[in-house]
Amino acid sequence: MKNQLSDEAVALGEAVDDTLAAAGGVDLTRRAEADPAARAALIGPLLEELGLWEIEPLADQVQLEAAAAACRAAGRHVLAYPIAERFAAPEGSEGLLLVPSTGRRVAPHADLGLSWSAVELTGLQRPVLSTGGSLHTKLGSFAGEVQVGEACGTLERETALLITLQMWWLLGVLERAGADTLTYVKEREQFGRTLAKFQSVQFTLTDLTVAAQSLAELAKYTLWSLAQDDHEPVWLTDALSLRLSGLEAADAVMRRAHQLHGAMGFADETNVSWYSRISQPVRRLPAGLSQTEAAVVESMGTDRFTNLFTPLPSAVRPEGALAH
Amino acid sequence: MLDYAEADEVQVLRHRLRALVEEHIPKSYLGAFTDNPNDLEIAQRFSRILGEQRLFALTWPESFGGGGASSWEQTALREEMWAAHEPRGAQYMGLNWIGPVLMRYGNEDQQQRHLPPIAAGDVLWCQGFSEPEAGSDLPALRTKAVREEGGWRIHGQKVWTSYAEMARWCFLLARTGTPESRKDGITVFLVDMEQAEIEVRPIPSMLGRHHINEVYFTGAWVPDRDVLGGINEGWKIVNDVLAFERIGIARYARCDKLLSWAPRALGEAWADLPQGLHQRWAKALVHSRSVRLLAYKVVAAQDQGLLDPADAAAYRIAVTLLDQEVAEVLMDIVGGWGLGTEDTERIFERAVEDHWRYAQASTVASGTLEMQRLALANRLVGKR
Ligand SMILES: Cc1cc2nc3c(=O)[nH]c(=O)nc-3n(C[C@H](O)[C@H](O)[C@H](O)COP(=O)(O)OP(=O)(O)OC[C@H]3O[C@@H](n4cnc5c(N)ncnc54)[C@H](O)[C@@H]3O)c2cc1C
Repeated sequence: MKNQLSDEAVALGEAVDDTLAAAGGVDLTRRAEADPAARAALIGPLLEELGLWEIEPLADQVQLEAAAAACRAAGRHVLAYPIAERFAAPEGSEGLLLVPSTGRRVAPHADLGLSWSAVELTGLQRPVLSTGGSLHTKLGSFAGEVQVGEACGTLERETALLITLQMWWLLGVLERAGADTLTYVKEREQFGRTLAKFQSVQFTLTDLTVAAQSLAELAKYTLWSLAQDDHEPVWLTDALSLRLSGLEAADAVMRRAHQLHGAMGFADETNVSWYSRISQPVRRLPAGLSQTEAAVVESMGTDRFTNLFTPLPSAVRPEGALAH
Repeated sequence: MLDYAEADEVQVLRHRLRALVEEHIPKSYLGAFTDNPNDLEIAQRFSRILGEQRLFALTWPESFGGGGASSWEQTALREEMWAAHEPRGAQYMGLNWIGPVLMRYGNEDQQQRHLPPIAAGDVLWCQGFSEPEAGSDLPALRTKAVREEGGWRIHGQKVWTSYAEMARWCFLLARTGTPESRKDGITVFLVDMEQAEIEVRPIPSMLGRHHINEVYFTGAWVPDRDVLGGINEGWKIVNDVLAFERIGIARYARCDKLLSWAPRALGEAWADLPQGLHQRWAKALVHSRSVRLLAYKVVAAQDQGLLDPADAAAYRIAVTLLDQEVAEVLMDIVGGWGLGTEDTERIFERAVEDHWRYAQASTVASGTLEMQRLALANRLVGKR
């Protein structure tokens, strides 16, 4: 059992983190909101220089881990750029959009003019007919409408990859929100002491931390699972399960981060308000909590989830191994 | 004997208010503090219409321009207004607590000057309490009032002041005692906002551009006649204010309205929502009913002069958490529309997005969730 990312992945994550921090960190997203269309030119070259697009996440596990570490680092700056979507691009396109199967068809970053492919949560592929510009709203600056055509096959592994990498990006956001909150309560004083001294504040912090840590461990497991060829039957279930946990963790972390920041957390000058707003598209699209739960139930069936005492799907179970 | 049926006059009032909203408030209205200056106009106009019909200061004595109605009518008014995105704009503050506090602590001159304009719905007030270093710990406030012949000069900074940009008056707390005097050295000043020595700077936030502000006082003048209550006796007044404020906003009413509206707004798509979401929706409706009844408990107690701040705290805890629960359920229901749209025909979806953003602040504004919990817990375990 090894629960550490490869050295290569860790090093790339640090490089992405450093590059983005040097370029302004969350301020990049602040600038991007003023002119969403310009963010491709603002952010794209930074990632290009790091050689991110030479990575083929589905080629081997080292590259997959590197892509995930890059997404997490981007999340730490709530980077408004389709990093997961570009990593998950199938042959012949520049990026993959995850689109809702019902209701309004909008997707994170669809407002950027890449040559897009699209999938639904089930892996069903649809051609992208056209995309619209930024929604220009407080929660949707970095999302756009997508018109898709008739279903044209399935892309299960790419879909699982995209879901997983989006959650790595979200994980980065949540970890950073937790870190900022910790810093804040250690600095902010009320009643003659720092907020961190109040037991209720400590408990709130612990709940936030447990939520983020659980997500981090599940994110690593899911990544590993996705790299195992014989896990093919559970790739999508595992990715959906990660999404479910990601949405729950996001709610648990962001609610508490807001709460501990008091009124300060709503002001644009405070980063936490950006983590909260800018993470909305990924948290709502292509499916919110209940829809994601339903998708997990559907995908899991009765035997597609590998815990200690759940039967393994036959493809995952090695010859002669313990069945129950 | 129990009786939860609404009295006829309350029902009549609801119908009257709904008709007025229907007539005067555009369907796409989402409150007075949007980027569209028209919305503030709409709220000001509507407040005056209510004022003319004596519907504004419904429970105030008639001598102050009120309507002499019961607190249940007042409750219905609060519910109807909040459910309709508060078409009175910021006026509800003057009405809900500034007026009642002036009635209790103001002298005759202050009552004569300030109450009728509030009752008529044509003056906006803001609340200058919080400071950068004094949030939950309000007694730490430092804004200073310095005595001069005939009045006081105010120096200091307030923050998170809602509506300060448009307010004509500020209900201000300032220090008149020693820096260490905490609760014993605070006085209430009624401050005319139209002075060069007051600067208001909007704070851009996820709540929209025109909601919260910083206010800088560089020697603003308050004549003696606008000192409310005694010098250094402000804290008692503050406690009353906070009690009024806590039942002030009928957040549950908007939750109730949006939840009830959801199936109709979605039409055929409603049936396609996952079962888990239908369950959350149903549960949220049940929660809004029980929270409404907690509010009624507070109103009934207040009616009998038995308001216990711990009950108000219990209600506030429940209603602010409800606001956030409902926000999440509604966001799931509208899916991608929750990210917002400029299409003003999407009335329900826009209301949901607006509700979500504002609900994030409901456990912080007017006293945080944790402060309410402390208030209730101290009462339960007998501290203080
Ligand atoms: C939308 C909005 C509108 C507002 N409008 C106004 C207005 O019009 N006028 C005005 O004066 N103010 C206004 N406020 C300010 C509001 O009253 C304060 O935000 C609130 O009192 C909390 O103060 P704070 O933000 O400084 O948070 P802090 O007091 O710094 O609290 C930060 C966190 O620490 C927690 N905490 C603090 N002390 C303790 C403790 N002892 N034990 C446990 N936890 C603790 C808090 O509960 C919170 O979670 C508004 C705020 C908002 C969000």
